[in-house]
Amino acid sequence: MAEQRTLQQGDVDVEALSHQAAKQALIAFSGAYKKLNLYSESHDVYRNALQNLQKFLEYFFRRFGSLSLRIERDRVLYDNETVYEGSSEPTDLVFILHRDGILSIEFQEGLELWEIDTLLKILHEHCVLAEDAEDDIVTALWKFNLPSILYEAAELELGPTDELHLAPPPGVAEGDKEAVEAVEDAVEQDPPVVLTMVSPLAGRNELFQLTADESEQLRKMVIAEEQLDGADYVVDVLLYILEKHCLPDDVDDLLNTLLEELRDALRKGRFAYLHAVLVKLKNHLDSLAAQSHWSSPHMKRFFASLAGATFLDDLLSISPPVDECAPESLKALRQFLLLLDKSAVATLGPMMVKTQSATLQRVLLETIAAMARQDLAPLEKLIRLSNADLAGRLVFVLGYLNDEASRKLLSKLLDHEAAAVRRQALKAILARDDEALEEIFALVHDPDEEIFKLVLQRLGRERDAQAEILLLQHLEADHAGIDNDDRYLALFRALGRCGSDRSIPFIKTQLFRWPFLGVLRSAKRRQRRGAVIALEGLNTKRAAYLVQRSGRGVWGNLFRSA
Amino acid sequence: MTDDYQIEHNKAGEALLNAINSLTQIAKMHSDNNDLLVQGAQKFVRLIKMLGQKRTHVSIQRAHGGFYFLDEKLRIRPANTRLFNRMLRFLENRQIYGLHFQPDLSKTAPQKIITFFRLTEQAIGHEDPSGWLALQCEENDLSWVTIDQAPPAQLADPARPADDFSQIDALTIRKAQVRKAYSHTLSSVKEVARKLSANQGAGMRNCVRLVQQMVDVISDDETLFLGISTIRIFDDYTYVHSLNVSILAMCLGTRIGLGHVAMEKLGLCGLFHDLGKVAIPKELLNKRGALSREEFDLLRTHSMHSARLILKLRAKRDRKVKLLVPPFEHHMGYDHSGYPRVTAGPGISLFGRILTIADVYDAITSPRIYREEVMSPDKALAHMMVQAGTYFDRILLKVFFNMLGVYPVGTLLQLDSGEMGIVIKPSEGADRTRPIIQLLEPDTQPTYKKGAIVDLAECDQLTGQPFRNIARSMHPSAMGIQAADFLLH
Repeated sequence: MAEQRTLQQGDVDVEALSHQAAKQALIAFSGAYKKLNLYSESHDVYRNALQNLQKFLEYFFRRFGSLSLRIERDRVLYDNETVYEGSSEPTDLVFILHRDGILSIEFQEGLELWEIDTLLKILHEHCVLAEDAEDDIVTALWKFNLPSILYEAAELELGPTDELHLAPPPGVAEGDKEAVEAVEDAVEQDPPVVLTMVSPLAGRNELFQLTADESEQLRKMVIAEEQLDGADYVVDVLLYILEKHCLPDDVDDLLNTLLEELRDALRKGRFAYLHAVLVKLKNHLDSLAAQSHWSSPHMKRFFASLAGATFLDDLLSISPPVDECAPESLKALRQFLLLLDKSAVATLGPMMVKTQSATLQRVLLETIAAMARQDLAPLEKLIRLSNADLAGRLVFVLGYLNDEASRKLLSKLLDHEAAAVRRQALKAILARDDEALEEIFALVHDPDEEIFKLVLQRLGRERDAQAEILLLQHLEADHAGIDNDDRYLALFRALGRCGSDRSIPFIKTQLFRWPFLGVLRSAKRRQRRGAVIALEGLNTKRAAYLVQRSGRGVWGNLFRSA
Repeated sequence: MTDDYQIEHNKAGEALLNAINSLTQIAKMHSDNNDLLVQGAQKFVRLIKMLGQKRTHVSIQRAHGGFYFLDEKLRIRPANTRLFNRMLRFLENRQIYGLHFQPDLSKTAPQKIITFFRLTEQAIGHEDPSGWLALQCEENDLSWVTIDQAPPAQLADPARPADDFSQIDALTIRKAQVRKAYSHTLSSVKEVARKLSANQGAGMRNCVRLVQQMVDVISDDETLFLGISTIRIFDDYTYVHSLNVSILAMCLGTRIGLGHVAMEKLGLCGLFHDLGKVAIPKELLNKRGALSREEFDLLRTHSMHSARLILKLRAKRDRKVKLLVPPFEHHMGYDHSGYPRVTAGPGISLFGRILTIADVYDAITSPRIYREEVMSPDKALAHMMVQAGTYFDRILLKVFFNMLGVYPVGTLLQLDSGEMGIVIKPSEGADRTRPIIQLLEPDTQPTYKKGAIVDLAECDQLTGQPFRNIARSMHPSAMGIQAADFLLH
């Protein structure tokens, strides 16, 4: 008797302990769920709560086996004991489980962290159930099919239609008893003929059995279906509807869906496919425009959206990256981009700055250049509105264009307020080799050192009378006004490279002008140094004579000291 | 127990479950002499030999919602979840608690192995499935396998009451579940169509849940759903047809081994494949007599409208775009000879091809106001056979034929004995022309009541001749019969 009492006491203890452990597990479960509603799934607070929950569950499994819970409207029961009480919050754990019809849930031994994590994410994602939801906790659990979490769900409340009431099929239902009688008469009157193979399919096993080859084909078909992306099919359907049966009510739905499908394709780097789709769309758009169709403005807007940053920026993060694309793929990318609305320049330009990929930069540059060849206005507008860095890169693009319009634009850009733009414009002009020297020479006052150097490099590139005259005029008129010694001497160096004996009189005056007592004044010294540099550059007999003459006596000493 | 041991033990148990699963699946699709099936049986023999080294038997048992291989519990891993769940349901539905194989099956012919797995598959249709299977094993001399018909005692959990599932008429319960699921799905798809035609937002949660329920049942036993898909309700033709197509498609999907998520998608595609008919005037849908060119053209837009309306469902874009293609394609034909005419593109999707088969079969076996004659199911198959490889995918059509048999469930047969009966199960033997039928007895005119269930393969032992032969086949509607009434009640 005493032994029996001890055993019962032990049972009670185990029962109480199991209830306590279940309560702790439920508190941890609710805690982790709440944390996920507040923090991101990668946040430490949630990850810790998740591990805490797993700890409690594992303890329960070790001591008491699987944890089987019954869900009621406002509480959770374990072994007929309330182990958790819900609140009236619409996202309360118990409330949402009950709302979706979960009757019981069982955590089984072997439960892994990813399963608990998935369950909590399911609860989090479905904590609010919209009136016209497509999924709920039950449908999501079904899809994930978590191996160590079993659940039982109530049937849907779908009103009184719980049984089928089958009427006889038509004909008879409409009182056509004659048909029945005719068949029955036939059965009675005609002695049945014994036919063991009445069906044309009988005996034709080949119609029922797959060959090994067919089995293999079927297996591949199923694998392909399970891995199917499906975008090609979807876009074809959307294009068909758009082309053949587009209704005003549907057009936005269709185009939004199409946009997202194309976005997916872009993210996957399916450029040839995108190109093919855009060719079709463009033809369709042209045809709509020709008919002044009501949907034409919608389609135009759609095309404009394809040219926008919200769509094209995905190109910056595609996988695999553009650098790893095959040459054919890059070609397709260029073709696709070229089909976009010309306003795409405003998107493609900034992308050149954002991307680290040299390949993508090149593709973008070539695309912008090609677009600008057709219409320069978007590029010009973008250059005007962009910051110096981007504008500079865009001006570089202009260098690719060998037409009059881009040349004019480059000339205009020589006056741009940003040095980077002027610099690129000048480089582009110089690279085209069709520059007007006066235009280039106008930049001789440019405060940007690189521009100044470029101008002088160009002037001093070869013997050129026009360059010589321009330099002479500049030096004669303004030599005292150039306060930067390096620049001053550089002008003389350029004069020496492009000039001729025509410059000798001017140089001579610079060289031998008597300084009187101001012989050591730096300005005068600068003039003479410039003159000698110019003479050395001229490399003529007269120039050599003057250099030689200037090297003797007082002047020579002065030069040396300088 | 070391981790290594546990891993090896788990692998071995999973290999056995996998072998049982694949053999039952392959046996569904192939005849006994099929190479794949014979090879599968030979592999099974080798596997059992390997697993049974130094043992008297190789056992797999189910208890406490899991599996025990050689009396030790198998761990559940993400990779084996589906297999475990599938096999658990498979064995539960057959009230099988365990299978014990003799380790040396080298003297057992592959045909015997195949027979066992065929019988296991077929056991579900019987009132006491595991008892029936044990009896069949005895009759077929399959002494190398033993079946647990009760929970294994050594694995019993004292905290749990014994599973009393076997005490209930499982078949009756399943029939009621199937009827309820059918009825609810029908009302749900009608509700979606009603809302869409009224330009209201329509969600699909109910449809999703019901399709998931159907997938669960069909994955284990398609017979009942094939039976209920014979329902023909004239007033609700479009919706009943949609539901029947969905069921037929899912049954075919199971046969070809689709995963459960793909099956859900296929089921929803079937349900929504004719949604576009809400955009076609009712008078045109039910018009008697020939249609004008314009009327035909209008009617043919319905598949396009289905895709259009699916986009209007309140659901995530990802899900909608996955659903809209097969309904769009269901009249295009494998060879693109149908409509809409879209000759470019990637070809008809697998689900589009499945829907095409299910759609045509259900349509031509349904009485319609504009059609004078309705085909019996067997004649419908013969009719479809002509277009194998052209309008229909030849391989899928073969699987479909295999699934339905020569005389599909619901076919009304007139016998040379003067009796009439409805096919309730395709033939279980090699002769596909001898299905199991429910005899019909005349009741108050013009109705019938259930008679005996007979197997047309049964022969007179003296003469070796079958007791009954088929004289002709008919559509049940020819006699004013709803086949489903006899199959699901």
